[in-house]
Amino acid sequence: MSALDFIVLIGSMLSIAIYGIWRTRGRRGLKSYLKGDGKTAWFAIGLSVMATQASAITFLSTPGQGYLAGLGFVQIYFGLPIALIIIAAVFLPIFRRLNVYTAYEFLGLRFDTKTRLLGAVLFLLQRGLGAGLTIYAPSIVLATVFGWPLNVTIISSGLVVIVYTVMGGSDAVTVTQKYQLAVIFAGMVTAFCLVVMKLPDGLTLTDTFALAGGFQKCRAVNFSTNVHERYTFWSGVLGGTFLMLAYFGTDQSQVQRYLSGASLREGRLGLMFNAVCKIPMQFFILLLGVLIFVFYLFEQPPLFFNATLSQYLAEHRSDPKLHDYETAFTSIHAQTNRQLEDWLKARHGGDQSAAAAAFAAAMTAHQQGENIREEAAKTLSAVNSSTTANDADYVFITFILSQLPHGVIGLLVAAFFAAALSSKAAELNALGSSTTVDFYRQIIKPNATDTQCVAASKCFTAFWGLFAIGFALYAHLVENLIQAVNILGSIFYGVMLGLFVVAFFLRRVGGTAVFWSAVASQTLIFFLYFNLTISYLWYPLIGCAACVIFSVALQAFLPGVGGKSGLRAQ
Amino acid sequence: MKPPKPPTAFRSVEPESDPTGLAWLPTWKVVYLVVIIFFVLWITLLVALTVSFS
Repeated sequence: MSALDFIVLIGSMLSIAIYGIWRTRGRRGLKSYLKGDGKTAWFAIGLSVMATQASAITFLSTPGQGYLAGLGFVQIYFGLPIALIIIAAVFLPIFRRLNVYTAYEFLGLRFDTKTRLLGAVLFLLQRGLGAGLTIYAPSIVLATVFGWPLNVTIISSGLVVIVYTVMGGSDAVTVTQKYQLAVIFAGMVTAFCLVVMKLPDGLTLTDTFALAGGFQKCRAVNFSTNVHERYTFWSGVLGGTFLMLAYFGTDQSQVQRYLSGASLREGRLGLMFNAVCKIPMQFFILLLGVLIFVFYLFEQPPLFFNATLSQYLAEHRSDPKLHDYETAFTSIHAQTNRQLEDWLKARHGGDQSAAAAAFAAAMTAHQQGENIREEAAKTLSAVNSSTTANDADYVFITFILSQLPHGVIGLLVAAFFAAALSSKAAELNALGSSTTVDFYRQIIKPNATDTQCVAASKCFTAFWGLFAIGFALYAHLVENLIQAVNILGSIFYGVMLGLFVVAFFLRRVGGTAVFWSAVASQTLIFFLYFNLTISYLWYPLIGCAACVIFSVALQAFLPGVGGKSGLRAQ
Repeated sequence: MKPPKPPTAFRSVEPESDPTGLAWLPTWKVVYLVVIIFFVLWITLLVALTVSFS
């Protein structure tokens, strides 16, 4: 990075942080710290909800997913509009009517304390581990930009986020998220335009899509009914609806965002804004990855995008085996390039058979290149066990640093940090809020004053930040980040959603029945996850259904009818 | 002395009679319908892309 990049990076990040501190100065009350002042307009809520979900992982790892597997990942978002409509129509009016700080407070009002604590524990466990994963993204950026060890960047970026969140609280998160999102979108749109401009001369938009399609990168919708296929239309619409319903409806990091709205209308419009914008946004981020894939078909890519592997390779270039891998990879890429140029000429000349032959040869050469890459990664992993072969998360940052002009590099690195700050701060703030409201004020110190609660919330926020750093240091990722974070959510979210579905719709079920049903369902999900190979998108549906069915069955054997009066869905 | 009114932000409202404040979308049912139409349009575009280039 040049001096210009650092000026853009530091200037944009500092101005957002200073603005956040200035806007929230003098706000010290518990309600303001945990929930904001309840004056947020729909557009700010919409952006805040979007920024909370769209972490740095979204902007770093999703293009990598597009590069590796094409557009199919967009199907995970097919359930999102349906889920947000259900939340706007059912969940949000109830949360607002009861004026709760956390979603789990509602479970306490509807059932009992143990069910409330169970909901909060499931959230804290899932989100605490998820926070560990989201620390990875800015750490990868730092490790790649400065060449620092990943562990050092995990600790340093984690500490920065903790300080930022503890100082600001919920209000600071909401007021700064729209500006962070502006930086993110400016960076992504610039990157998108520059990738398009960097594609070879003579390659039209149709050629680009035909080329990407030939390499199976344009399969955005897959109607297969095979439950073992990870991303299909059905797993997206059915499983995805439950995943998104649970994430947006029961995860405190999201509930906290739309409860800060000035009215029911503002919260609902904020959610509908996301229901309309989210699929197009994810599609364009994945498409960016696909375009980078096409770009690297013509431009020599590195043998590894992964910074750790690349660094190891650079340090051991004298090793004849590694040198051979690099030479073979460069040579096979040149062959792919020549075949694709022939394909383009034949395609533009209208010679279909020559085009098909050149394309088939290019695909074979490309596959040989991928085999060399895989073999080299295995060799490196065998000699150095600390290296991870996961390459997808490094594709976009490598492209940025090696291909984009100075100034734009600074803007995009700022975009990653803005995304990391906005989502991480919202997560830690929600973890701190839930621990304070659901545990500290409920069990540890029921008569705590507002000042004591704010102080406790800051301590819990810091604790969860350190927990996330600890997890990130010891977690070895076998999946790329965007998939890992969704898999983790899928394991816990189904049962969390089941608790709320029973609370809203099954008036006869009481606290004891739903509590033990949720425990049994979560155990079942763990068992299934470790023993089945079905797409993870089905687990939220299975977890929710199991919790509901077990609750109804168990209630039939328990005396009396549960549920406190006046707390049912209208 | 009368008890203080709850703040406007958290006053209880009938969810479906809550005004949308949008001139062309007067009820929440219409708003949800428009969102569903956008969703179906996007799916159609993505299917068209898949069919054309895969």
